[in-house]
Amino acid sequence: MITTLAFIGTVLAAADVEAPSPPVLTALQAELDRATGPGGGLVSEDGQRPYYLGYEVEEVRETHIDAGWGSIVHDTKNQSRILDIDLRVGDYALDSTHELRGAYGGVRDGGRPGFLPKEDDLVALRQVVWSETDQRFKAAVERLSRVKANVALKAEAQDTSADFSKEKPVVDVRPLADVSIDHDAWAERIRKASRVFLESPQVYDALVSVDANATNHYLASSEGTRITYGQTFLRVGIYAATRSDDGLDLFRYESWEGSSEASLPSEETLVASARKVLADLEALRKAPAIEPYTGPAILSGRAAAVFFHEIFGHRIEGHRQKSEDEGQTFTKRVNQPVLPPFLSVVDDPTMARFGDVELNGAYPYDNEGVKAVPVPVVEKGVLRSFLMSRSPIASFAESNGHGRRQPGYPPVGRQGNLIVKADTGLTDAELRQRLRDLIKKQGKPYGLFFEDISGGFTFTQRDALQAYKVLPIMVYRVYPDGRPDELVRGVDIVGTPLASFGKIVAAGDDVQVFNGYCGAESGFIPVSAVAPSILVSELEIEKRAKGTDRPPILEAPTIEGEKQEPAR
Amino acid sequence: MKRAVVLGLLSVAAASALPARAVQGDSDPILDGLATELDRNMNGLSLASLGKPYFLSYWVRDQREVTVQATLGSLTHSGDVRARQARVDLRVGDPTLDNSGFFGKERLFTAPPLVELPIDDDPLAIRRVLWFQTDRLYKAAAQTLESKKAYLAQKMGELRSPDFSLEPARVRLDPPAPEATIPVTEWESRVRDISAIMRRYPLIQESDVIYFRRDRTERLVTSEGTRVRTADTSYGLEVSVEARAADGLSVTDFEVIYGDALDKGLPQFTEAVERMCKRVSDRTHVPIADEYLGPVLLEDQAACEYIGQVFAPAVAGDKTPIYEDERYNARYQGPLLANRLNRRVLPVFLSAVDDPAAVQVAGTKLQGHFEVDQEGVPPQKVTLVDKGILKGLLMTRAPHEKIAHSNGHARAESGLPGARTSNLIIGNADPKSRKELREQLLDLVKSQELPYGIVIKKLNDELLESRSGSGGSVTAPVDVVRLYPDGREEEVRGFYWGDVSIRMLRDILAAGDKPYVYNYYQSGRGGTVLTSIASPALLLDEVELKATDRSQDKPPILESPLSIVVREGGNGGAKEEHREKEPTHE
Repeated sequence: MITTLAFIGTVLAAADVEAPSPPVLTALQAELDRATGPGGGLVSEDGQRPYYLGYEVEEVRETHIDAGWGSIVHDTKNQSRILDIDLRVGDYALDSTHELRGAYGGVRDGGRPGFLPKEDDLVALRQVVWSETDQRFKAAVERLSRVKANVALKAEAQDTSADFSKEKPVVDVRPLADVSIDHDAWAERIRKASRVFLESPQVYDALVSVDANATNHYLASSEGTRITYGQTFLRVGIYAATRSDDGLDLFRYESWEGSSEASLPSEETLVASARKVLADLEALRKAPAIEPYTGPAILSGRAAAVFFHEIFGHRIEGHRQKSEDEGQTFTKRVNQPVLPPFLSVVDDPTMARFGDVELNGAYPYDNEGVKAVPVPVVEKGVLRSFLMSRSPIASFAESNGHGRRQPGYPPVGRQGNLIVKADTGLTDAELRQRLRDLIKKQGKPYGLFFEDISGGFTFTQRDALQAYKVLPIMVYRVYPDGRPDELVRGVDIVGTPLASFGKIVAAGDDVQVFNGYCGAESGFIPVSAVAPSILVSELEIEKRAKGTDRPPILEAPTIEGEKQEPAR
Repeated sequence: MKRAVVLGLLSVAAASALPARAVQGDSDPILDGLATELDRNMNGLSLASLGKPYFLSYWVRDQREVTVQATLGSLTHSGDVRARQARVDLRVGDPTLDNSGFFGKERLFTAPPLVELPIDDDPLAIRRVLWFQTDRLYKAAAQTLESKKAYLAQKMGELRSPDFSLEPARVRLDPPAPEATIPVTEWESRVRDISAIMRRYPLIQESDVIYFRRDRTERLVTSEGTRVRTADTSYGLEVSVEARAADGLSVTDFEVIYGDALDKGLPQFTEAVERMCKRVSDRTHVPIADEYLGPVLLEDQAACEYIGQVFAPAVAGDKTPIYEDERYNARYQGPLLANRLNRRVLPVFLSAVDDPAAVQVAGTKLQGHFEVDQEGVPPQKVTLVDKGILKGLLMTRAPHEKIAHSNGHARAESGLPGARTSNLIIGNADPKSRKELREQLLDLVKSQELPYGIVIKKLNDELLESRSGSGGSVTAPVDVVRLYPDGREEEVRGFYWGDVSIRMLRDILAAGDKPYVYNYYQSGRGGTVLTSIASPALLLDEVELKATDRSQDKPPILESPLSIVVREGGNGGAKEEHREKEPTHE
């Protein structure tokens, strides 16, 4: 262990070798040295050894409180340390993680996460690391023999790039993070905000929640990487749902995110927002249902951000250019135009905030220990790069620090902070004028304005329809004659990606942030998307599927009815 | 106003039904809130085509659960969580045929077994959640009943017992659960200490020590007028270990202790854990079992666990749910003895009673007692088997064709309640001493020309085994010896059960004279419930035991960190890395 450290110390002189190593990192390093060290280590019966061993421990301290109808529903504190192991036998070109083509579950051997003790005793920590590593090694040796048989049997793959990229080791032991909130004050605040929904007999589900999480990452690898860093994440959210008289479920969600309590709303703001959510729901219940429609539309910055994340962002994730199960929309289009020339896209995990909004998708190192860097994905409409993990593809051999995962999943190329920029942004008035012009030109009765979008989903697999669906919440009809906008309900945006990009005709000068969590094959991870509002010449909407249940038969129990019996 | 009158009448009924027990703290705003919402829904839920519900109940459990978990002297988890959960039972139709126990193909909304409720004592917030759940359930229930009728119409000729039994309303208000007196930090340090024992046993690869305490207050209101509040505190320690032999085969064992046995028994339990660690380490060196077909003597815990896994689920009389999709019905086997009333199911010298009021057997306390079951029915003593003949079944409010009423055995941890045992006591009219049983085993061995007989003293815990995933009809033996004709005992490892048939119970050849009492959490319909089983040793006639397939496991390649520490004298391999244990207190 000492030699390894000295070696890295000379290569990366900036690293502070003398800094006291946190116990978890010490335990990882000790088992790493035993497993891969000279004169011993893991060796199989037929003489194979791991050529790479990487450990990551994600240590999470989380507080979650939520309240409904003026009362606390959940109040939990949790602390966990989850160990992920990337153990590879074979070599960088062909290893035990290679895609098994034509085999069920062939993409990657996920393995199971290990759960480490939450205290800092080295023997207890190392015992778990040792036991898990042993099981992983045996599984990797067995899988490599299957990989070799599979490669021999199947036709040559289109993309013959290596299985693992070579990267420079990183030594960067940063301080760990912790977080605390005023538990009782927050409990009282969310009680108050959630009590707002008791006033309406039509709200069926309501939850106001507060989360405060501190996450510490410990990474160590046989290549010499040693990293620790900590992040904090706080969020307050308001969720409420109702149902229209014809059975359509409607909901509204508002949230605040940030790395400290400073980003969270005051009690007044929280209660006022709960009232706004309630007013929106009541307006949505009364809003007319809309028929399927194709025509011009404006997406607000927030809505455009989700639109780009779903439709564009998922298709520039590196591993999708390689897996033969994928649709590979952009694989062969590097250096070709894919977006209108006035748009550029960068994914920048190093950006901590945009304006005064903290970005959810920021991180210094990815889950493979590679330093995050801004990736210019699209320059003036032309595709330049993909979001790369350490799984190389034909056109890109190295990671750009986008190998991300939720603990327990193998990392793949994922988005961090996807930022869409426009060369020229129109003012809101100009953008609306352009919309009205398009409505008239196309002879449509109205256009649409998408103010808020809850999220969406997209299919990128080859055997699925290459389509997306985006789920708007607040949608308005915009009339060409200048009448006020009219709220409507019950629509989803549908489309196919390539056709949709060609129809973006202008962008606004306002830029908004969408902070959220994104789920894909490597689990749920925090992401942000930032975009200006955009004008689309043609967008297709369809009716949202709805249930057949009518609204409740009885009136909701309300404060009025309760007055004879004191509540608490 | 109307409600107040109804409640007044019920209080009178309660006073006469429970004269010995004072109804304490009879002001309970939560219970009042539940009753208000229940009345409102019973009176108001009605759609022209659907009819009104004929029964509605809200069962609500308040719980504070403390869990402390550690390995090798280091905490892996420490939690203190409050929760309030409800089960809503809404029935349309009538007691002979209602919407219960039927799962249609169209996957209508069925209530999740437990609904999360607000934990503040705010009746209005609780009612708000129940209101919406009840409405959804009512609409789905009416449709389910239609599907069920259509399904049953195709199955003409099959005799069906009614769906629901009518039971008298009960009112009972027990004091709420008391708060724990020992602080969590104290348990953290105790659990650390016990788990640190394994630091001296390097052959143990994985170990886990869990302390839990659950303080519960349960409330039940029904449209029949039942209003019940009961309280329950349960706590215990569970320790499991897994060692790995040089050939890679895993060897597991466990120790558990629950309830007041723990109050004074911690030192003895700690010693038992130490003995287990030594036993498991020694056991990694004993021979691997060969396949065996012949007589088997079950002693101590093994007899109880066997009765718990083979006999107890077979004498449930509650209904098996019907799935419209036949594939599920084929997969699910109902209780195996429910259709064998008045027939012989055990040898004539054995009997079985489930006695919730029984306090102790042979000086050991039974812990399967409870005051009221989850359907509001006080549990009754049930003679299940008399002189080998099946005389009764464990009943919930779902009637059996020959047993019309509940005997108060509806129990559940998390799912829908099932008919479960409380204190199951196996009686023996022909007791044999331990020596006599072993002689009888050896007589059989000789007459069948076997080299040895098998004595099993302990079976694996059901939950632990399902976690390690070895599967099998009965959990694997963990403490097994070969008994040779010359009286010599030889421990073996690596057995698991072959086919286990319910008929094996009838063919029990002999039973012991001293009942062993086993208090444990038993798995089954409705989840795990604390149960007590008292059983003498049992001599089984012909048992198939299989030997573990050895090709699956390989020993670890590197020595464990713990082995290095132990070998080098206790404080760690590379000395600069290891400090003495410094648990962080939070």
